[in-house]
Amino acid sequence: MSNVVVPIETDPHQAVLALLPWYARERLSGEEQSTVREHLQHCAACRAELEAERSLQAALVDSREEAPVSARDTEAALRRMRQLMKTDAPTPAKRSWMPWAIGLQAAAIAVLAVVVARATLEAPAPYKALSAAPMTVPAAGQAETLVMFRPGADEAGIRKALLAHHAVMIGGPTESGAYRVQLPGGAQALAALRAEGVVALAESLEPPQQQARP
Amino acid sequence: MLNRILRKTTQPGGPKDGAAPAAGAPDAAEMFIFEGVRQGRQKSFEELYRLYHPRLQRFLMHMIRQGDAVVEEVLNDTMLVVWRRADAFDGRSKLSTWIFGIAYRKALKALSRQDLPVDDTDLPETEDPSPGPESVMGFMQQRRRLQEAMSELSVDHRAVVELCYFQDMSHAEIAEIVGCPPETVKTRMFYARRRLRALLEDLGDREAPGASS
Repeated sequence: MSNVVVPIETDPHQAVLALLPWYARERLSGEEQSTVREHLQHCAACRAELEAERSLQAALVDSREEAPVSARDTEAALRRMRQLMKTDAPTPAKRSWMPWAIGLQAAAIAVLAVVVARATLEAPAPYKALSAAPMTVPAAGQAETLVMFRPGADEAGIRKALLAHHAVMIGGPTESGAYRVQLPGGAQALAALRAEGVVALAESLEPPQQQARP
Repeated sequence: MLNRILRKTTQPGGPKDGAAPAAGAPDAAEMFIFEGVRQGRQKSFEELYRLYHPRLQRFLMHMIRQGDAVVEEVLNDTMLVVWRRADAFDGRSKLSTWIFGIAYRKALKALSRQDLPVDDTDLPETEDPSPGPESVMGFMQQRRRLQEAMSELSVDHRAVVELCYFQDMSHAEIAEIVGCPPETVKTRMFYARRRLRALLEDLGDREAPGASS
């Protein structure tokens, strides 16, 4: 009965047996891994269990003789996925940017009010709803870029890299640790930024041909 | 008997492909793609879909044990949640854990919707395996026995076995996916393995009544 949880931790022997599947795959935490290793050194019964466990794993894996999922299958499924998204899904609410969005909307309204009041003849800046930077209006050739820095990158290194490419940080960090950066200089600059030691990943958020958002 | 079955195809048996918790580069790359999904970029979503489709397909196929169409429906339902509720991922767990958790719940829902017995044994019976060299026959028999034994597991037990052996997840990750404490995962795994071994013994004895272990 799977809902009944029998405590198997009380006996160190049992506790080790319970961890063997992961021990055999080296998927335990460092502490657990060494606890099991130590126990195995002086417990022949558990060593035999580990052998049986390894045999079982190998045999189970061998028993699966499935053709790998082909890229064609994936593409076919993806085509139906697109259909599903079209018919079923509203555009996902970009709630992680919500505070920004609200700020931006307020800013947009304010700007609009000023523009109307003064009736200026200036050409309106292209409207960019949610992805626009809060304080800056992207100039031509300024690509908004998502950047992740390497773990351990320090402030000085990041500052140096950004200055070297005239990049300006305009947002972030997101929950996953990415930053939004305004980067002049197009694809070349992007490649140069990627080559910086502190930069783990950099990708333009503005594919020129698409992504017009309602 | 059991040992003979099990040891036959044994290889060093350890982790297949550096199973140590592979944080770092792949996770960062995935999170990078996911960031685009969070912002509603369809291209990013499709990239993520291509990354996860093969893994989810495997997992769901063995979880719900239904035809391709049902598996794909559950898979796409899962990914639709990922697309629509990307903002619900709080970054406290790994992305894969979150996505597999959704898939697991969708699979359970599909199973209950179809009112399928969770202990079904719908594997095709190959009563009379085609004749061939003894070793090939032995291998085929062993494979069939293992598949049968897997299909005899309850859905809870099957899930932890799938996630541990075939998706290479740690017990903490599995606990998050199936929504129970890690101790429960260990217990389920313990009993699933015991059951698998018992079933293999049974199946072996049934096929070779004269044989002693």
